[in-house]
Amino acid sequence: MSTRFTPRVLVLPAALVLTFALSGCALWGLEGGPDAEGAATPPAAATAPPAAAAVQGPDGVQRIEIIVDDELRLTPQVVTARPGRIELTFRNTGLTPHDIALRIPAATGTGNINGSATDTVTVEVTEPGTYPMPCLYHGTSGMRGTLEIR
Amino acid sequence: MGRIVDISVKASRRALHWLLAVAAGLAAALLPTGAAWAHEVGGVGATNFTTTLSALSPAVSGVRLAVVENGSRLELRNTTAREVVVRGYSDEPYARIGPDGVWLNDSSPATYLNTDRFASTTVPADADPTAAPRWRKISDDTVHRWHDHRIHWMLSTLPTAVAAAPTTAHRVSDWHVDLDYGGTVLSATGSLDWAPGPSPIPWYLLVAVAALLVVAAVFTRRAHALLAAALGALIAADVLHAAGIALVTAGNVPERISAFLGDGMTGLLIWPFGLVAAVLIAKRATFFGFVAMGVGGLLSSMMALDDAPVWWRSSAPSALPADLNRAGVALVVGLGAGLLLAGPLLWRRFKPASHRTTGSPTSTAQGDLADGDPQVAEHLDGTAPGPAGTRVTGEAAEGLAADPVSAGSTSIDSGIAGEHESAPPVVLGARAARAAASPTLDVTAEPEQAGAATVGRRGFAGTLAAGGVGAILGAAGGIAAGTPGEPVAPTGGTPAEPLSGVGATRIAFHGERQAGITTPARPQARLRIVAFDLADGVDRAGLQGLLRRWTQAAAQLSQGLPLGDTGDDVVTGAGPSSLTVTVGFGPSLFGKAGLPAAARPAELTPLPTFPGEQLDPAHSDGDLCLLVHADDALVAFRAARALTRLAAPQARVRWQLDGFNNSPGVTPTAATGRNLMGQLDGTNNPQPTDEDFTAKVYVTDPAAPAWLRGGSVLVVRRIRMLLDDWDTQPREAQERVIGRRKDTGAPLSGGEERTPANFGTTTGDGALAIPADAHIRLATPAFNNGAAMLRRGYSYSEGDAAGLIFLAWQADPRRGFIPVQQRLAATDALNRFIRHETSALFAMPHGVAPGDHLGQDLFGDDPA
Repeated sequence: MSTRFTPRVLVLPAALVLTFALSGCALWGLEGGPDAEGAATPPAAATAPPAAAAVQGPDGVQRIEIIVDDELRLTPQVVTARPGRIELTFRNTGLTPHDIALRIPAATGTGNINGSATDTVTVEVTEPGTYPMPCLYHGTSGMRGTLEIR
Repeated sequence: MGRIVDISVKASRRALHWLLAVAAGLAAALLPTGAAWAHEVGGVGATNFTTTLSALSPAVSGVRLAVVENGSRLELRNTTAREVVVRGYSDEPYARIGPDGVWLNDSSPATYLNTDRFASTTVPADADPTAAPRWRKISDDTVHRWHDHRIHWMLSTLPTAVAAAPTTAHRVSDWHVDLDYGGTVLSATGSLDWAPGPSPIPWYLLVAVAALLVVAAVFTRRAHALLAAALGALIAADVLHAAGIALVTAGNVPERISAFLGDGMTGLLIWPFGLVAAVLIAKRATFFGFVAMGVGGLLSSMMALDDAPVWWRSSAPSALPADLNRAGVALVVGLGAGLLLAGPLLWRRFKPASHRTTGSPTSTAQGDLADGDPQVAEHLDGTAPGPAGTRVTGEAAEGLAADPVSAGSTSIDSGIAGEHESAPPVVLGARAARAAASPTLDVTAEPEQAGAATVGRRGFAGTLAAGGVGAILGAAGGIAAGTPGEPVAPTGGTPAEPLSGVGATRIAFHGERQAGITTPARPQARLRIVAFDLADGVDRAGLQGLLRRWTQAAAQLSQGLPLGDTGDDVVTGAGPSSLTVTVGFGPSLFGKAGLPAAARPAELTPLPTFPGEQLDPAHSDGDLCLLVHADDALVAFRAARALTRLAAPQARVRWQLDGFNNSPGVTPTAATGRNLMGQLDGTNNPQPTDEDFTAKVYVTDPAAPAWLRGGSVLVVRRIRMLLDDWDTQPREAQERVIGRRKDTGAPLSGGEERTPANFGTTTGDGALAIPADAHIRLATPAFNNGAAMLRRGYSYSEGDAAGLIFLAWQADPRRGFIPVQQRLAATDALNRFIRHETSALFAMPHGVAPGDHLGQDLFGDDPA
């Protein structure tokens, strides 16, 4: 009698336990399970930053659009240009605001760029060199672009 | 029989389904918020990311900064009479904390960004960091907490390096946050690290053992008592866990009580429910096994979903020790899972007979409900159950096949009435029934079956309930009273007895020129040089921030003031001991940090290669230089170390050197120091009394950049002395190599130490008294177009190597070290006994006025 009864009593609790156990796997967030099993790892693109060259327009100004997003990336991460006037357009395709600083003498940064907003900055660079473009909000989390003047 | 059993099973299942529906409804209502329930503090759950605050420098008594909520927020307490301004992401004023309360600047984007852990917000268009602050008061407190995104990881994926090797520790980044305190910049520095957690296996085992013990308890003779105890322990563990979380929750008492009870006061609902059930189960109310099942399942599953990561992550938002917290989570999960199974099993084992043998499905189902309701009523009313001996239950009639109630009953009311009429209201377990049937059975083994033992049982239940309530109240009280994350106040080490002159001597830090070049007049006994390389990607603001921190810290250190709660007590009780800190810039700095390569002054042209030198590039050069002098080795070491810590994250050590001279009091103050070859070294130095002393040592050229005018250029050479070769030479040979007597330092041309050398003097045999290749002949300004430098060398010894740390100060090495060394390298007799092993060149900017920072005009007016 009891042997016939037991499975039915236990079916629901077992199902509950199983459901929680299975659904739980996805709920442990970016750091994942033991040994970071199933952790959210950065996309491959972030590990191999592509460089792109600014394109010179008929007026002599070099232009490039840089996408900033919720993955805390600048795409392209490295912008190459020749000395001269450079127009940088930052398009925020995510929701999180960013503020890209331009570590170029006499240049100001973008200021706050809200989600879905765009900001354009024109700089005049005469000295070849590598100029960092960190996000003031996300620098600690590695959000840094580079302007290379060759 | 088969049909009856079938009906009974159906009825039981219906009751079970009803209960599970309630439990599932509760779970459905609670679980969506469960993820945010009491398991995260400030948006952070268990994590391997660790934010550390290493120093707030300089320290100000009454201004306390702390990392709270596991790195989610910074907390600033200011109990001084002057306000502290926290700088935002563009160095703009963001928050103001002081006697006037807490004010936020509505023009600062940080005001909006810092409200959310992940800055998922929108900054209003009028929030311009360069605009005039628009202060808005937000509280009367003298404490403010904010999500500072400089201190924690903001991305929803792991850092690349961590993702590549998650089981090893990583330094993710270093951070710094500046505070303004009445014109003084208080610089907070710290780091963000990845610290891998432990193996979760022991905790899995604890969960399994706890669950198995609870299930096994059903099949023991004390099933009810053990299950009640398990339920009580479950709730106690859950209360402990919640208390651990509430204690680290920053905020006022209501906020922390709310964190303790969980969103929607979940704890307030579940804990008393569970405690009452525990009491009733202890009183052998079998039915309440289902409540235990519900409470156990709910707490266990919520805990497993939200808190299982504490087992394998290195830190969790809890005031409890990490392993105690992990054990508490394991107990809740294990005991809860066990109760989830044990509840139904208890029912199966001790189910009243009425549920096994009755006829009508309807009445049986109602009987199930009725079975429980009167008990609840009785017990919640506080009505004492009858003495055990008088209790008669359905189970008392076990085997008699008679259910006095159920036949023909069609309503709950009548069912209850029937129960009341025919039997005492409390449905007891089988054992009590057996005891009632045969009171002498098992008396010794089960004393609770005696009449007097009823008190014991009730006492047990009462104890459990009181214990549970006490635990909840105690925890709540503790949470209300405790203050989380309070940093320990640094202990001021005021020495009891006055220090001697050596320890108490202070060298002024501020002034036209940096200290450590020509002040103090007598070089201190100890030297530590640290050369740094800028980290990749450091920008102008980063470099400027670093120089600001160094300036602040050096000013504090040189005056013997504490550097904040740095955690080291190396100089506690020690005086400043003539400490000086001198900062310089290497040629390689220009072209980095937004400083154009063309801005490098001509004075800082890299040194040419000299014949015979055997330089180790890894221990040469550098972007930045810290020169720390003091009359005490511990003071010098600690100052250099503290400044090195402050250099992070912008700069890292490239090389460092320790040097020593005679201690003060060992030789007369004005005496020239000796090197390890035994010579007086520095005899022919420019003297401060010389008319052109300043022009020789300090940059006075109007064409030099402003930051360098009033500064000086330093050449550092580590010159190894081949002492084994040197010592085999007779004294006379050694003296001819140098051109001076070793004992007095007098030139071989005659006279005393300071007598000018006569390079034309010959000895009796016609040879030059000072040989043609003698060191002083080649080095003398007279033969180098007046090239001169101020040498303030130190000795070093490192393993079996020893020699000279040659430090030469000059206005321009092209009219100082370079021509002299070119001559020396070619023909100096001393070259056989020495080897130039490292080389570096640094330009020391001019001195600093209070409120400014070293090298400030290097950055011009550009606010970068």
